[in-house]
Amino acid sequence: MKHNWDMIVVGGGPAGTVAARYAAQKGVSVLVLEKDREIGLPVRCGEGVSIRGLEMYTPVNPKWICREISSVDFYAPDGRLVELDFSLKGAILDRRLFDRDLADLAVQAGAVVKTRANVTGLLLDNGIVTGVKVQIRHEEYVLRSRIVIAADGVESRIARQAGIKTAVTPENMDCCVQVTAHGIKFNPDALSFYMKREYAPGGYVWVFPKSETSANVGLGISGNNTHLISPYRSLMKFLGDTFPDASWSGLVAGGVPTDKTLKQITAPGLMVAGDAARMVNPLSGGGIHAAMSSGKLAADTAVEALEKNDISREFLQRYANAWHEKSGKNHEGLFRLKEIVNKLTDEDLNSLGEKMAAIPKEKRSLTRIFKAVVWNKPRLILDVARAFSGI
Amino acid sequence: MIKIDQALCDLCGTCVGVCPVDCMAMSDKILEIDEDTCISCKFCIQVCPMEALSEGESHEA
Repeated sequence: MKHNWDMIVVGGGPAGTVAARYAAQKGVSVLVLEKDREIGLPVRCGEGVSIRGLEMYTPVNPKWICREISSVDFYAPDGRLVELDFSLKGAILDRRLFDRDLADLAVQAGAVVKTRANVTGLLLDNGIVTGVKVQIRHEEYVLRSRIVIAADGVESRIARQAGIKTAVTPENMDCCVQVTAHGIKFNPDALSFYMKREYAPGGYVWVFPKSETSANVGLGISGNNTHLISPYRSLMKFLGDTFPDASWSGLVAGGVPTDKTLKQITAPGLMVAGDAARMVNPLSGGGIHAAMSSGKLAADTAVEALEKNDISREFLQRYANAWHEKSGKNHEGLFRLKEIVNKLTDEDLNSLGEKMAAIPKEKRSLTRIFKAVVWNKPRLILDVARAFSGI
Repeated sequence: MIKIDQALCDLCGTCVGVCPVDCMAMSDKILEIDEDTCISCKFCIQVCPMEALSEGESHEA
């Protein structure tokens, strides 16, 4: 294996492989290091995306799409169903195929991908990142690179060695468990959300169709509320209460950082992208689009930095600024909205469901929902005003 | 001291993401905690989706 690279990417998820592809297309020598044995596995994801969002960063292979989505179904705590028209083209992905193809595209562009490659640390030279230490089988390799991209997911550690604080507080970590459920009654054309606090305090339950007869059923609970019920136990209870005949072919755990983007996402020679940079949409918990978007932005800046031979933090801040303009600023508003939504009680949600159900389906919009929220809880007016003034 | 029940651990990394002192290391096969660095803040126990982490007796106690 080559020991000197222009760019090393830590993590073979969508952030890492999109960054690798865009950089390799510009003639940059790129190595992607993935700790797991196979790109795309295990799948720790609800797999819901907007197809339009994907198309911005890759040609879409129809094989990735398990189901297309035409509606969003909210279940209030009292069981009332409120359907929203879904104008965005939504889909449930097969993340295994999706991630693998994104890695293939990076390889076709000239990048090298290594799996079972566990990065154990950064090389630092006077505070400048100059490469990584990586364990492959029993060997530890010291690999040099002019730029390192930390796309190492929710468990990101390597950016910490460059002095970047990546730890999320438990409050802003959604603790999730998901099964692939079969033998359940659900709407195979909708993203379904169950808002009952009993199951998901500071989060929600999702049912995302994988086929006409199977779905990802999962829930996330804010780390501050897990003392009320553990995510695993809560999902078992939800399944028992809601889908007593369900069986499941897989069960995975995962953490979703529903925080604002890290204050610092660059250091000399280093850029942080995707979940590792806490770029998940804090309201929805969706992270795929942000991962791809930040991967592309990081690659753009990397290419320029390599051309100009300037890997200083000042130069790499172009990436941070581009992200902030594109999405980071918006996430600050969404973060405040998340905090508002988390304050709603089951009673609030029931009354909101009642009000929404009275509005004709085609007129139910997010604006209407928020109007109803504010009508319900005047003390939230201030919070909402604050949230929107930030967007 | 934090105990890891390896039979329950899914290697999802949620705990690693909240550890304020970076004392947790995870590969594709195992999660480990460096007891010397750990400050027993218990954030990791709090966020574990699988109930795989718990507080155990310290060996020195």
